[in-house]
Amino acid sequence: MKNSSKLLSAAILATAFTGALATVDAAAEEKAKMEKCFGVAKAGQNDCAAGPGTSCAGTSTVNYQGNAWKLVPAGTCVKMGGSMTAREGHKAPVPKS
Amino acid sequence: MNTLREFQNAFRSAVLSQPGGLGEADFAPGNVPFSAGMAIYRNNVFAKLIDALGDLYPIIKRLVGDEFFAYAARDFISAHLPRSPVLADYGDEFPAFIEGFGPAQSTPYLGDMACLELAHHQATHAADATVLDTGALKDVAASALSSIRFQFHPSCRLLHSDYSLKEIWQAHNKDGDIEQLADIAPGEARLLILRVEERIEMRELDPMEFDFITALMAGKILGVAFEESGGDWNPQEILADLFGLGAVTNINLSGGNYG
Amino acid sequence: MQSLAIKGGALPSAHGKDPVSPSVGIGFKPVHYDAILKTKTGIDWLEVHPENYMSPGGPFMAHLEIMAERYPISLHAVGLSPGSPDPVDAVHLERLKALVDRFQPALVSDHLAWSRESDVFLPDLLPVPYTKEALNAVCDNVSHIQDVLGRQILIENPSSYLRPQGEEIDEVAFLIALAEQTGCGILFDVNNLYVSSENTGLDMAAYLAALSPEIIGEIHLAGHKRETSSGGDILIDDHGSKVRQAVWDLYSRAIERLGPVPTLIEWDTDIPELEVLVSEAAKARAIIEQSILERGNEHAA
Repeated sequence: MKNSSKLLSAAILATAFTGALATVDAAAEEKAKMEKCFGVAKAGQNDCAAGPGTSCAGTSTVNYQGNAWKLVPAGTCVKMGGSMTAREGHKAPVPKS
Repeated sequence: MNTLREFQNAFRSAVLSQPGGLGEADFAPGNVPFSAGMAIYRNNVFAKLIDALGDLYPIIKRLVGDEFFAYAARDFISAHLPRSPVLADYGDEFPAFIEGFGPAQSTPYLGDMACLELAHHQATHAADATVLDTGALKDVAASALSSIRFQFHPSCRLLHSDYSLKEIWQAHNKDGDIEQLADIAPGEARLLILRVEERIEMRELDPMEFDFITALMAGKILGVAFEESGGDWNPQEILADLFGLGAVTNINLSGGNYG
Repeated sequence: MQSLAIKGGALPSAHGKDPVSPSVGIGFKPVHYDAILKTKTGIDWLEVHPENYMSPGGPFMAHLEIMAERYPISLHAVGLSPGSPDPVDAVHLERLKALVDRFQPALVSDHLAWSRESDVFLPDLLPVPYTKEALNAVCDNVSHIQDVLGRQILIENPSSYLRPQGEEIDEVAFLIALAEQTGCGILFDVNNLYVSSENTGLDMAAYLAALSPEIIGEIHLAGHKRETSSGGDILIDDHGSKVRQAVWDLYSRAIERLGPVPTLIEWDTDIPELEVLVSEAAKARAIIEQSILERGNEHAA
């Protein structure tokens, strides 16, 4: 990047930074384009009880893998039809921490 | 009698339906037949793990349905047995698994959605941090501004997808309308996920904002991060949101910390 | 041999500091968080699984902090796997120690069971064969846990579906020997004894007669499910309903014999409103109060 544009972006940054601090003071939370997601009342994930208490549901010698090829998703995703086709160059995202 | 180690090793094989597992002769006669008793232990193990995955990936579960989810989860569990008794630590390989899961190939956005759900889960359990007092920032000299570094809240996660994840997510929310799913247009998603007080929030980012925060989270100084995102757009709104949401917990100047 | 007396197990009662007054608790579930804050529960203490509170931070940890400000906490572990031939997972034990140091729980416990085999963790409480070899292994692990935590722990009798062939010791004798050799206490799960008795033929009366008050630090009560099949009934310890009458009856006999042991109501599947757990706990309290009254009368007579 050339020096002149470097100076320009530094100037933009300085103005934006000052402006941002002013906005934060004026209740930035309301301005944020946020989406409320699910609440945090997820159940605890360890219980020393037995599972659902079924001793005969799909256990013992049932081989799930043998049947899996027949399965198609049956939930809400079928409603989405073909609207969600893969784009070219699609890559799986990796959450960055 | 087997040694304790031999017994437990063979018990594990029986629970996992692998060869070399304990059989009827290894147990004393009781009121519960061997096959029924072992089925209870096996069911307990798998049910708990399937439920744990269902708690972590509730939207995937709704997208594919309970039965499909249980099949997928069982396959996943067999290939990724837990290494820790803390189930909140279990299941971070599930996004890659579901992305490559043969029967799910008709639904190509599942892997990305699972990444988003994992990001929510990790944000929920991430360490706490004190929010930055922005009052202290007003003293930062304009000349020093370009060389400061942001320290982000431990819950912050960035995610980019080629699918309209936010809209699919919303349709599965408590107040969401699943009937609208068919109308969701193809589109990308760039999201910042973080915990604000006790809520998990998502902020949509435009491409410049996404590149900017990616660079900042990688530890680059403000000036460099801005230039890498183009350097010719107005970052005021995203900076205000980062501060307003408590995404930034500290600012490092070359000489020390604020806040 | 160490002292058998229960150490560090003192739980306050909502009804005064009298050591013979009843002390009843419930398992804390995140779904009851708001209700517990708003309700005068009459509950003396809360119990949680520490494995659910090992995150670096976040709302669950914060909520437990808030609960711990209001109620004494009992940490009931499910993941130490004291029944393994291997030493306890050092990382997990350190995580537990951090919680113990932070929350100063009134009680700490785990189960006479194993859940780790080599490097794999199976999230269930699997049966330990009651042999001399296993007793030595469990004693080593429990002693090590107590050394690291710097306090006594309680070990709970499991619910059994199958018993290994060739066992050398009774379950209750195994637990008593464990307590004698390590100084640990016993968490007596009355429902588990009932379930194990129906499934594997344990003699409940003999079991109860063998237990002595000094080594019992806590009692658990929960519901179970009866599954009927052509081969006969199987009881499943699903913690998904009210305590069964037969278990209340066994509990009354246990309290009569063991005295006013701190008692916990567990409910882990199909979790109802808080008031259901509170009313189950009140039932336990009434049984303890009745027993205290009868003991007093015997003294007076």
